[in-house]
Amino acid sequence: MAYELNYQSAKIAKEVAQKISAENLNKPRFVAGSIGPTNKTASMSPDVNDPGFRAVSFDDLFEAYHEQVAGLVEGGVDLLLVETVFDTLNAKAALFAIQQYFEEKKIKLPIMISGTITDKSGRTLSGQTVEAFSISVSHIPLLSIGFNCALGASQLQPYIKRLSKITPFHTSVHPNAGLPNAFGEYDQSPEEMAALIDQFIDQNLVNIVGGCCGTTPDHIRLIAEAAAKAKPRIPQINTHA
Amino acid sequence: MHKPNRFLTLSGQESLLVSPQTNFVNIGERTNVTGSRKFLRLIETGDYESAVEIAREQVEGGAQIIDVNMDEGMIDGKVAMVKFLNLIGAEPDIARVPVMIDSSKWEIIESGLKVVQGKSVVNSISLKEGESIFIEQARKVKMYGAAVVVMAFDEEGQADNLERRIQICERSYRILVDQVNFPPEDIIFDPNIFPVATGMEEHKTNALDFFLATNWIRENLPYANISGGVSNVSFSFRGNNIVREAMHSAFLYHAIHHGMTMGIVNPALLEVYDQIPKSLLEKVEDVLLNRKEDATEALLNYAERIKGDKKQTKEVEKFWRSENLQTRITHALVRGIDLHIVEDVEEARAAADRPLHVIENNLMQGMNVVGDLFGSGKMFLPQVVKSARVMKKAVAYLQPFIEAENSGVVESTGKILMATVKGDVHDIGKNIVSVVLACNNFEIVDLGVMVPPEVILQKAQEENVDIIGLSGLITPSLDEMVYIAKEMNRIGLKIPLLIGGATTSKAHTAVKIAPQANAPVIHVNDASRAVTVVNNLLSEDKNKIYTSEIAAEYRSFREKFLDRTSNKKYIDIKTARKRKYNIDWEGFKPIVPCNLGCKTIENQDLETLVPYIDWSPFFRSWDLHGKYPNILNDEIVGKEATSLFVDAQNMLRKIIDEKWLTSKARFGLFPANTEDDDILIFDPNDFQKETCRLITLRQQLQKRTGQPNLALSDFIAPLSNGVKDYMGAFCVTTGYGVEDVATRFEKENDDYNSIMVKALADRLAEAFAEYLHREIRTNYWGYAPKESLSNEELIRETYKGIRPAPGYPACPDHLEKQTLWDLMEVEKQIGVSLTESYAMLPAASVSGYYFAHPEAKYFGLGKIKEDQLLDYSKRRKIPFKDAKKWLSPSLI
Repeated sequence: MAYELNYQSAKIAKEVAQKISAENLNKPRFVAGSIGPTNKTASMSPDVNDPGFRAVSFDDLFEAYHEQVAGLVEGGVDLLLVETVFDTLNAKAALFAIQQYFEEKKIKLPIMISGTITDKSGRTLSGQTVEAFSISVSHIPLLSIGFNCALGASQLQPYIKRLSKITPFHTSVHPNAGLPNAFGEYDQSPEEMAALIDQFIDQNLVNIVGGCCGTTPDHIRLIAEAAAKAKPRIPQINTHA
Repeated sequence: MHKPNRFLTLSGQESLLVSPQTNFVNIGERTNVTGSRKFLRLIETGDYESAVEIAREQVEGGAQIIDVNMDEGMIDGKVAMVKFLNLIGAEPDIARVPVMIDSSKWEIIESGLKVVQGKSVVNSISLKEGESIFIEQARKVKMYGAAVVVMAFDEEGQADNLERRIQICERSYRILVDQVNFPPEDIIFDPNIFPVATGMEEHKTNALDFFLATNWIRENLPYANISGGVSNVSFSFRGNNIVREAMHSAFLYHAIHHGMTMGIVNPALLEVYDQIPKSLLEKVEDVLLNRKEDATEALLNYAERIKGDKKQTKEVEKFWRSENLQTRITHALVRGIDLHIVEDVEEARAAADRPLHVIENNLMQGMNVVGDLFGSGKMFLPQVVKSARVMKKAVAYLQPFIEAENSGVVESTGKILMATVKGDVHDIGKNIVSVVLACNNFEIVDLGVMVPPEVILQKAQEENVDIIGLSGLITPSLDEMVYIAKEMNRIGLKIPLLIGGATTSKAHTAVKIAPQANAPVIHVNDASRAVTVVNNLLSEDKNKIYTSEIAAEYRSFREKFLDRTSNKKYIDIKTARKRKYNIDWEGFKPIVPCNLGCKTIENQDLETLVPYIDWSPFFRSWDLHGKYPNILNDEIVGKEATSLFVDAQNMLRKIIDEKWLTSKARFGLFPANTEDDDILIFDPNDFQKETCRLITLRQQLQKRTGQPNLALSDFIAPLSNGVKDYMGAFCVTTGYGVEDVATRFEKENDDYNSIMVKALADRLAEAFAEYLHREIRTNYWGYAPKESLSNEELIRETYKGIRPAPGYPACPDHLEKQTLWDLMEVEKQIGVSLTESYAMLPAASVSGYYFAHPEAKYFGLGKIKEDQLLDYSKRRKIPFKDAKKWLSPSLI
């Protein structure tokens, strides 16, 4: 079932992307196969009384991710995006599965990774700082590393700044449309969000921009317009110096 | 293009960069079953909780990486590795550092790699079993995203000379970099540290070869790092720590100069390089660098001599008496020997122009040595308290001379007011901090216990103190502290406030107290930190930076804390009651107590209580952390713990033989049933007549399916079931006489023994409670007549039934004590009274309930919501705002 869902979704997206690309050959469209975090954490215990317990193992995650990667790649995606990483161990299992699949099929596709800073502590849900997260997933060549979800663009900015300083890879950001209001709805308008994204671009912090929760096609349209005029960011060569 | 520098980066929850600026990375070695017998024992017996504490001590002690090794025949290494890594992964103050997964078995390494989220280090792989296995393992390590230690080991064996080290490391490096595409900065070579001075000719160059190999690697294999297990080098000097410590630091000194970047080091076995005696250092370096033909022999002879000296310690003890005066005074202060201090001080006084100079010069010089040793972790708290005793005795002797000369008082560095807050009678911790500060030349204004806020504020102003220190052990004291901070702000008293005591915490200080004050508020729960904190606060240069740093730290702590607590979900009390713990009352017949009603025990023989003493908390009250009896053999605090234990045993003997303390107990067993969360107590003679109601509180934290929301009332049969059930209550004390003895010691300027008698009385009271509980189970109630448990099992609470105490986690409501007091006429019968905050007087007392149901267990209430508070105020029949005051520590 997981294979089928991923295969068919990738296939549909790829068909649409090819059609749109054909309309304007100067602007090719790509399909990124999105790989989410799953609903279980491999490095934290869900039971406060048993801190050593884990609801899911690396091997379980590896198997699930391997199947998903096969579906996405065989369905025709151009790259893979491991996103909303709240537990880095889950992400490492995904990266392990991707590498394994690539080795089996003797192929290589670009890999993007995007973590999630959960709150103002500036850490992932599993407790890692921006720097520790970056170090923990940089063992394979990435197309990009970045953050998405949980926070809006203005809250994410300081963390993207820190990341942008230390990573040798391209950077990405997919913020939410601000923070949710009391009813869980997102109030930030496309114009407001695009203005915030402008700041990322002006400070040369990111290479890839987009939107996560609460963003609509209108948000993405304005963000794309803002990005169209930007100069590409050149990644730092020096790591952590 | 400019070639970028590539440095090893690692991560736990935080990052670690190994660059020339990092100096030397220190890898903790105590969580290794092959290196630490203590750790092995803990893992073997399944005491993972204490094993985790070892990891914590390592990190707190400055380890930047912790090495975890479970290679022991009797242990399932895979299971132990995974379990331990998962447990430390849940401890943020341990998980912040990267882990070194250490095993000679690949399967253990791989199972470890599957449970760490950060970039760890694999220790180790090598060419031992050939290239193909080496390559396969290296590929895996790379896929898991770890760095790797490569041993200088190949198909032929371990590299044992310089050429082999170079050859194997180079071959390994080329395979890793060229074939596996392994990042060179992630390679850490271990070029084998072997023992020197073994007497074997071929071992003579072991250290030197390591240095030279290290140097060669750094120059020829770009970006690679060097590590090694340092204690190996001194293997032939086991049992002679003086030589070992010197050898380790000299070895490190040279190895780091040659390019060693990280190493497994035991900080307890490390002398400061500068402080190694010249004669020893020279001999050690002769051996390490193989500088002289007879270097080994010379060092062995030297080592033998030091050993010999040790055997003649008694001779040495006498010897110091013939040293010069200042050396004798300093020696007496550092060692805490008061035997000759008066004669030495008299000699100094006779020679000095003014008696005051003896304090300012001779004594302070000695105390400065004590302060330095303590500050650098080379002396422990009980030693310092003994030093203070000597100091006080000396000052007391000089006092009349100083007064006669009418030259005024000794000028102090600062004046500090110390008080245990209103309603609280516990002062052991406060006294320890006072003593430590006093011997660092601060003037202490000690207001004692149960000090009302007005008195604290008034005295602070009158005496013009520089700092106020507040202490408390029971939860209502927390509110007193908040109130005092508020009042200080209101009257414009802008001096720093120190907070300490067992229930205080950094969280409470940062979240509740600090925001109330207009001056620095600092949580100091550790006497050893008090001096540094006070010095920083009173230093004109550092004060501003320090207080703003503290304020910033507390602000961020507060924000994090509030973020975290807001994540927890709570359910309403109605729902919580539906989720109560359901005992099958149909299938259980409560045992009728043999004796119903109340009873008094007068003069319990203290001798019978001794076997019931739990010593671990005793050491904790002296800031020595660890479990008894293991603490006596602890590598760091063992010696001090043993000496403290000997003193405690001696005093305990006197307490018993000379009848210093009197003990009493009052207890009762009653028919009981529940109505919702209330426990109804009935008259033993009339099961229809309700005597009183115990009001219990219920957990409201949202829990997983199947996990109940507990209240103590769940362990008693509901009235509606028609089952006749029972429960009990008690109060024991061993506190009569403590004050007299303590005051007597204080008059003799002997704070050490004054604190000691209080600490022992507390232990005896707890022991009495334990003893009485057993009597209840086997005799008075008799629900477990055949029980036979060892004392250890008693301390681990493996028996049936519980004895929770009001004011503790299962029932934080102190007002319950009043109900028990009325029910059993405690004050009238045995004289133990309650203060306005419901602390028991005398302080060495314990009270609580008895529950007998085999499923009854201890738990923590956690936080409760306002709906339960409102319900509680109605049940308790007190105004809502009073209820809020009493339960405020438990409110969300």
